[in-house]
Amino acid sequence: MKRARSRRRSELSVWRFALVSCALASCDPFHTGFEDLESAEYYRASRQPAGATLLGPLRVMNYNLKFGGGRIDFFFDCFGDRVLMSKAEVIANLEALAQKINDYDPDLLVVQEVDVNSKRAAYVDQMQWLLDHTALDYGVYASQWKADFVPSDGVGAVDSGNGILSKFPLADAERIALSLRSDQSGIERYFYLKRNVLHARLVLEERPAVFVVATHAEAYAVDGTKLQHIDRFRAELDRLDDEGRTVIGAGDLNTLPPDSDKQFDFPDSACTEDYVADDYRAETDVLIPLYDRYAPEIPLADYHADNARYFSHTTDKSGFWNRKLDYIFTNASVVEGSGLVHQDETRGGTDTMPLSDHAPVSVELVLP
Amino acid sequence: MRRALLRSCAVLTLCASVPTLSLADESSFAKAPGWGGPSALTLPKGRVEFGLLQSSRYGLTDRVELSLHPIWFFVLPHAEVKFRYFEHGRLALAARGRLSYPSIFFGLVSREGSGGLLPKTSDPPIALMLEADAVASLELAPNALASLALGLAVAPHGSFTNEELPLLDFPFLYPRFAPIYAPLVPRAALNLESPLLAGLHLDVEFRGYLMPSLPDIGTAFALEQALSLEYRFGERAAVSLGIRVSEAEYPVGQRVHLLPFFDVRVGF
Repeated sequence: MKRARSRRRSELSVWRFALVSCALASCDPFHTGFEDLESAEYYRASRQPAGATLLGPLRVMNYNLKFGGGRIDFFFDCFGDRVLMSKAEVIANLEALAQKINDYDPDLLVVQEVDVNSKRAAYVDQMQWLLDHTALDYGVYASQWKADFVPSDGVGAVDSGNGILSKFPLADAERIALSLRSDQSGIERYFYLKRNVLHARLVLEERPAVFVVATHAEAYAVDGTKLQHIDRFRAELDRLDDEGRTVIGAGDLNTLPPDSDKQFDFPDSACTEDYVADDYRAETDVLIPLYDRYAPEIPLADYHADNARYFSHTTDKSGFWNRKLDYIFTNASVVEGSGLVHQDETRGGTDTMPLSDHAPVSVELVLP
Repeated sequence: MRRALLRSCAVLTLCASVPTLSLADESSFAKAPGWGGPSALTLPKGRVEFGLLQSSRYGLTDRVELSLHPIWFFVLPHAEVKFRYFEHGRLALAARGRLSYPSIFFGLVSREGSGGLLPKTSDPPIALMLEADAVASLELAPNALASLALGLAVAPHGSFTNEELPLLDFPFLYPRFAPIYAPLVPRAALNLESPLLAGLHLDVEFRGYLMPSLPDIGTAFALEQALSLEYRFGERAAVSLGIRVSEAEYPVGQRVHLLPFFDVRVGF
C-alpha cells in the first residue's frame, strides 16, 4: 500500500515536473523579458577612479552610438545588407567614438544603442570599453533589447540599451520599463525592443545630488507608443523636479522640436514599407511640455532661427544631418551659448558623420 | 580540408573497428515490444517505424537498423545506420553511424526576416557531417534498459571565414552543428528507459558535448537532459510528451533553454 502510494506520488511528481517545465518554457524561453522596475547594471572603469571634483560647470553630452556600427550599411536602414560586424570593425568604430568623447571631455555622458553582449557587435562590452578608453569612471546600464537569440535576419544574441557614464559615482540606478508596442504580433513583440527610462543619482561631493534620466523613445510604432514613451520620460523628470531635485534628462526622443521647418519626406528614407517612420507631422507638439518646463541644450528660438545648424541624425552616410532627434533637458542653469550639436569640424571640431547615424549633443550646466 | 578528411577517416575507423569484437548472440533480453530507440538494440527485420519528430526506422536485418527523417531529409539530407554486433546475457553492443549534408540547411536558415538564424549574406561551404557512436545497453529489469553511448562527430568542409558562416548558436542546434566549426566534437549520452504502467514508458536521457575551438568562444560545452513519457498502443502506435533542457556555454555566456515536445510514432 505504502509502495503504491509512493509510486503514485512519484508519478505525480513526474507530471508536475513536466507541466512546470512546459509552463516555464512557454513563458520566456529566450529570456527577453524585464520587470516593470528593476535595478540597472553598474559598471566601473578597470583603472583606479580618478576621484574627480567638480570645480566649474558640469559638461553633459548625449550620444546615440549606433552600437559602434559607424557608417556600415546595415539591413535595417535599407541602405545595405550587413547584420554582423567583426571585432576589428567594432573596436575601430569605438576608438573613433572615444576620440570624439575625449575631445569634448564630458563629466556626464548619456548614451543610447550601446551594446554589451551582442553578436552583431562581436560581443564587445561597449559600456566597459568606453569606461576604459575615456576619462569616465562610472557607468550604469539598462538593456532595451535582450534575447539569447533573435531568430530573424541572422541577428542572434543581442543585449543593447541605454547607458549613463560619469566621472562621478552613480547610485540608485533603476530601469523603468516603458510600454510595449501594440501594433505587432505576439511573436514579434516577444523578440522586439523593450524600451526603458534609466535613471540614476549622480553623487557629487559637497553638493546636492543630481538626478539623471535617460531614454530612447520608440521610432517605428503606429499606435502612439512613442508618445507614451516621451510622456513617461517627462513624468519621471517632473516627479524629480516636483521633489525639488536637480534633474538632467537626455536621450534620443525620435521626434522633432515643435514647429520644425521640415517634418516629412526626408531624402534618406530608403525603406519602402507601407509605414513611413520619419513622418513627424502628427507629433509636432509632443515636446512642447518639455520645452515649457525645462531648459533645453539648444533654446527653441535658436533652433527656429536655423534648424539645420542643430540637426543630429541621418541614416544616409553620403548625406548630412537632416533632422534633430537628440536632446538634453534640465532644471539646472544652462551656461548661455554652451549648447552644441557636434556636426562637423566647424561645430565641435570633428566630422561626426562617419561615427554614428546620430551626432552628439552637449551642454554645460551650472549646478546649485 | 586534408586534416578534416583524416579526422573523418579516424571516426570511420573507430566505427568500423568496434564490431570486430565477437558476434556473440546468447541473448537473455526480454521479448520487448519492437519499438526502436537510442539503445544498442535494433528493430526486428522488416519492421518499420514512422515518427513525427523522431527519425523513421527500418529493420534491414535483425542486426542492422536504418533510419532517417522523411521530411527533414529534404532540408538536411542524412542517413543513419545502427549495427548491433554483440549481445550476451543482458548486455548488447552496437555501433551507430550517421552521414549528413548540412550545407542545404545552412543555406535555408541564412535568410532575411523571420527564420533567419544566420545573415542572408552567409555563404555556407560544401560540408559533410560524419557521426559515430559506440552504444552499450544493459537490461536492468525486463524491458528496462540503461544505455551508454560514446561518440565523435566531424565535418569535413570547404574553407570559410567567420563572416561567410557565423557561428550557428541557436539553442539545441548549436551542439549538433558544432562539428562544422570545431575540429571534432566528442559526445556522450546516458539513456534510461523503463515501463511504468501498462503501456506507459518513461525515458530519461543525459547528453553532453564538448566543442573545442569554436569561433567567438573557444572551447565550450553543452549538456542536455530529456524526460519523456510515452504511451504505447501495443506495437502499432505510440504518443509521447516530454521536455528537453539544454545548458550550454554560448559566446554570450552560459544559458539554459527548455524545449517541450510531443511526438507520435506508428510502427508495423
